[in-house]
Parts: sequence; structure tokens; C-alpha cells
Amino acid sequence: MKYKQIQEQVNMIDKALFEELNIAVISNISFEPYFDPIVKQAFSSDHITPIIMPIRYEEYQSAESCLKLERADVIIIILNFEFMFSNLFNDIYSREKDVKTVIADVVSLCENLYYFVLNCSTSQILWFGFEDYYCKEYITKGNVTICQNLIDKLNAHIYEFINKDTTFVDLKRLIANVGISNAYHNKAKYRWHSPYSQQLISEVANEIHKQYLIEKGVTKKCIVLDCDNVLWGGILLEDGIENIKLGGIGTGRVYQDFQSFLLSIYYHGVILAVCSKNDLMDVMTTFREHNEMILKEEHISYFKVNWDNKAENIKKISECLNIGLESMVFIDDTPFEIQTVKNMLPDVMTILYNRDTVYEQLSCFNLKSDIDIENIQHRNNTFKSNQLRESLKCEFSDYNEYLKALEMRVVIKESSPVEYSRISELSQRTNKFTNGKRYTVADIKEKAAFGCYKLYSVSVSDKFSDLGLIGTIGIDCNTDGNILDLFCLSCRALGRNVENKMLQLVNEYKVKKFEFISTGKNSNIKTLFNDKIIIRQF
Amino acid sequence: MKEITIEKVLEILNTNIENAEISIGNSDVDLSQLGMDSISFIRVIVSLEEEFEVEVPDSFLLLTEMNTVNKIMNVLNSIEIEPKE
Repeated sequence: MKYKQIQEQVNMIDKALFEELNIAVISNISFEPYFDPIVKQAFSSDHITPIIMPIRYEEYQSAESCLKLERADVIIIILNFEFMFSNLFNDIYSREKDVKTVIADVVSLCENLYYFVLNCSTSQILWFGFEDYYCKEYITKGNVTICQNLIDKLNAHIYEFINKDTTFVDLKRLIANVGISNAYHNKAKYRWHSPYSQQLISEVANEIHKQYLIEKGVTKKCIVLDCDNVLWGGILLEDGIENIKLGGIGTGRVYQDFQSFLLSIYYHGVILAVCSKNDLMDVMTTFREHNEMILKEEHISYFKVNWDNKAENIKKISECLNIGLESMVFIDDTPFEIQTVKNMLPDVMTILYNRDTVYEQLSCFNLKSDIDIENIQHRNNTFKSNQLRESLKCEFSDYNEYLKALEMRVVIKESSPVEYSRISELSQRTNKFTNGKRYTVADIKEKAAFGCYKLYSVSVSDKFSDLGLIGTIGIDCNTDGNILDLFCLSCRALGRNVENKMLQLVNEYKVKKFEFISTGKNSNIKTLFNDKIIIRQF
Repeated sequence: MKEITIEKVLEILNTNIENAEISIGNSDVDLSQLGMDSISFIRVIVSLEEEFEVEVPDSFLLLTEMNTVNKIMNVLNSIEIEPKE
């Protein structure tokens, strides 16, 4: 696309209500002229206007660069090996330098840069790895690794020293996405040190956007799955468990691969539910007994298998799991079911199953790379035990008696650093019972470092399960009066009077102000606080 | 190649140089004093090349070679004689 067209598209975006996002880009190459407008395009759907602040690698320690780093909300580090060490491969071939020393030197340069940036800012950092696809040695040597696999070794070292709050982006993979022959732009390389093509820059911009959404916790939460021709091939009721297509080669492999993908995103925090027009016993038998099933009963938080309207079933799943419809994705192979859900529940994202396109459509999930298996197990146990709780509830006419019978234990204690990641996740994922403040792990660390900021973790368990850390309170103890800065409780623990225990603590601090940002779902939380607390709305 | 007009050149400069108000009246003023830096220079060059379907020779790709409206016009008109291959 022509530069003018991209500019025109960006100019057409109505930025009236857009939030600014400062992005500092440290690099030894240029990405002109495309980077700025393409990044703006990538963020426009989230009503964000990125302000790009380029920092030349050679000048990253200057006072001006430090100011940019301090102001940055996101910091991109993207160093180009070819421009940095133009003749290094030949120096290694001539034995003027050896690989070991080169690795030590380059890693040291990168470490200096990294720790300098860390000293200037606590913002999100994206480190783009080195790449060697520019190298033309394959023409004479064939497609063998270049220079003893130097680039991959360097990337492995960098990955090791950056801490877990920094994201390492695999630039080689982004180049693979567009194809090596489409990734470079020789004219701009020799004119103004801008070696990458518009196509690759677009890929980089989309990656920055994706990583931003991941950091902010903007993601769908739950997939509701049809079974026949989605999790396995064929119709269970008609074909029988022994004849459905699953595993082996051909069609059966397609469904097994999809299940494997679903299981991987389950381990990264996505809640899986089943909604199928079938007989429950048949579906349960398949999940429990079919050898080729990769998804097992324990991975599914809720089975809604009956002959009722699927839209009604999805609504019930949403209520039972306490997940907003806007956080749900429904996958079915029947256009009729998709259309019905679309019409009746427009907030639910629908995907008509297709072997080749279904994966791309699941890019609406923005998941962190680290896996908190304990938390996932906690969560799934809660969903399962919710069903047991519901049965117990039926035995009591008085709600308080029921809560007593649950043998609930609510523990509110000052947070420890190991809990910061979970607290950040809670602040970002909770939509209903929250004051709307969204904090990254770095934000939480920074706040907790101040002695006047009191951060509490709320954990809940009952006779059926341990829900783990499901709430948090952050109070800014100020000489002008204490401010309730952070207040959120996972929907998993709503309706159990946990909120009242949290309020008791807030009242002990004689909070004067309560900071509130609307998530579109959290207006009810304001009614919790008495008239003495001033609500500061943003 | 399209017809090169000073109006179009001014439009491109004003679009790509932040807060610039460049007019025929300041055709000889140094554009770097009006806000053009190395980044906006690249944007201007790419826009000029796209608009007039020309390729500015590498020897002119220096801020000092194209730092006034008149110099830009001269460079663009000199390319007119040697159409892009």
C-alpha cells in the first residue's frame, strides 16, 4: 500500500476520545516512513493513539533519551545485527574473532542497554530478538545454519537475562510469517537505514499491539464448544462412539489437532465449556472413555448437553461461571446455531467452525506466556464445586445458614511479592466487582514499594474447594486522608459476603476517597460505599 | 511521471512536517527551521516520489540538498529530464 494511502486511512480515524500511548523505540535502524502510521492503525480499534518516540541506539544514554524512556508507556528494543556488526561473520571466518568472545561481547552490550532501560522505567518492555535472514550465504552454502548458529545462540542468551516481566519477541518468526523474500526493502536500506519492508513493519506493529493487549489483560475468557464436527468428526448419536472420527490420520487428526490447541490455551488460562445438542451420558462417555480424546472431563468447566436452545444454554453457562457474555466465544459447525446465538446474544463472539480458519479467528485471545497451573486448577475446581454448592444451597432456605454450612474461610493479609502477578491479573481481568483500576505487575511493584501504600490479598476457601487469591485491596495512605486505590473481587467469589469482609478492612482505614474508572460493568460497586466516601471518577 | 506543481509540493510538506505552515512566500526559507528533521525528510521524499511517480537520485538525499521549497522544485524538475526507468 502506498504511504499516502496509509496516511489518509490514519487521518480518517476520529481520535476525539482516543487515549495517548507513548511508545519509545530504541533501535540502530530506521523504520521510516511506515512505522508511525502503521502502529497508529494497529491500535485504532482500541481507541488508542500511539505517540512514537524514536531513540537512536547510539544515543540511548543521552538526557533526551532518558526523558523519553521515563515518559514511555511501552518500550520497544529492536537491534539490527547487520547494521550493528556489519562484517562480524567474516571476522569469525578469518579467526580474527571467535564465537565465544563475540557472544560475550554482544551479550554485554545488550545487558548494558537492558539494565539502563530498567533503571529509567518500569514500563512494559518488548525486546525483539536478532535475525540473520538478511545474510545471503545460503546462495553458495545452501540452507545451513549461519556462522555456528551465532544469532540463535545470542537470542538464547538475551532470553535468559531479561526478566520475566520483559517480553522477548521472536523477530525471525515474524519474518517467517511474511516470507524472507517479502521482509526486506533494499532501496530504503541503502537510502536511510530502513532495511525492513512495509509488510514486515506491519507484522511488527501488530505484534506490539498484541503484546500490549496481553500486558493489559484484554482478552476473551471462555470458549463454549459444540461437540459433533468440532471436537470430533461425525454425529455421536447417529454414528456411535466407536465410529466418530478422532485421531489416527486424515479427518480424525484434524479434530485431535484442534483439541490439542484448545488444551494448550486452557493451560494458558482459557475456560472451556461444552454446549452440545446430544445426550449427556453419550458425551460424558466419550470424554471419559475415548482413547483418542485429548480434552478430558477435568478440562471442561461446564457441560451443557441437552436439546434446548443453545443461546439459552450459553446464557446459563455465563451465569454459572460468572463470566460476562462479552468475554465468551462460541464455536459451532452449524450456521443455524451460529446465527441464532448471534441474534439472541449479540455480545457473544461466534465462530463457524472451519478446519482452516478457526485458529486465526481465535486471535481474539491475548494470553500471557507464563503458565500458572495451580491457579488454573483452583479456578476449575471452583467451577466444578459451584455445582456442589448449588446442591447444598437447595438444602437451606436461609442464605446465611447456607454460607455457614459452606464453612467459608476468608483470609485478608498484606500481600507478598509472589502475589503481585496474580494481583495484577485480578486488576486486569475483573470487570464486575472492581473500581476499574488496571495495573501491570510493574505498576503493582512500584506501588507496593512505597511504605504509604497498603496492599492486601484476599483468599477464600470452603468445604468444597480452595478458591485461592480472589480479591485485592490497595489503600494509598495519604496525609490528606486515605484513598481506596484498588478494590477488586473475582466473580468466582461473588455472593458469599466476601465483599463485606473487604469493606470492614476499608472502613478500618477510614478511607476518604474512592477512585473509580468505569469498565462498563462495574457501576454497582459505587453503591457499596457510604456517603462519607467521595467517589473520584475518571 | 505526473506534472510537478509547487502547490502539491507545499501540500506534501505541510502534511509531513508537524505544525508546519509553509507557503510560496517562504520558498527560500530553510525547512529545518520550519520543523523538518531527518524523519520528516524521509516522509517528504517518499510522498514526493509517490505523488509525482519519480525517484529522487540518491545524491540528493541529504537534508542540505533539499532544504528549501525552491531546492525541492529544482531537484524534482531535474529528474523530469531523466524519467524513471
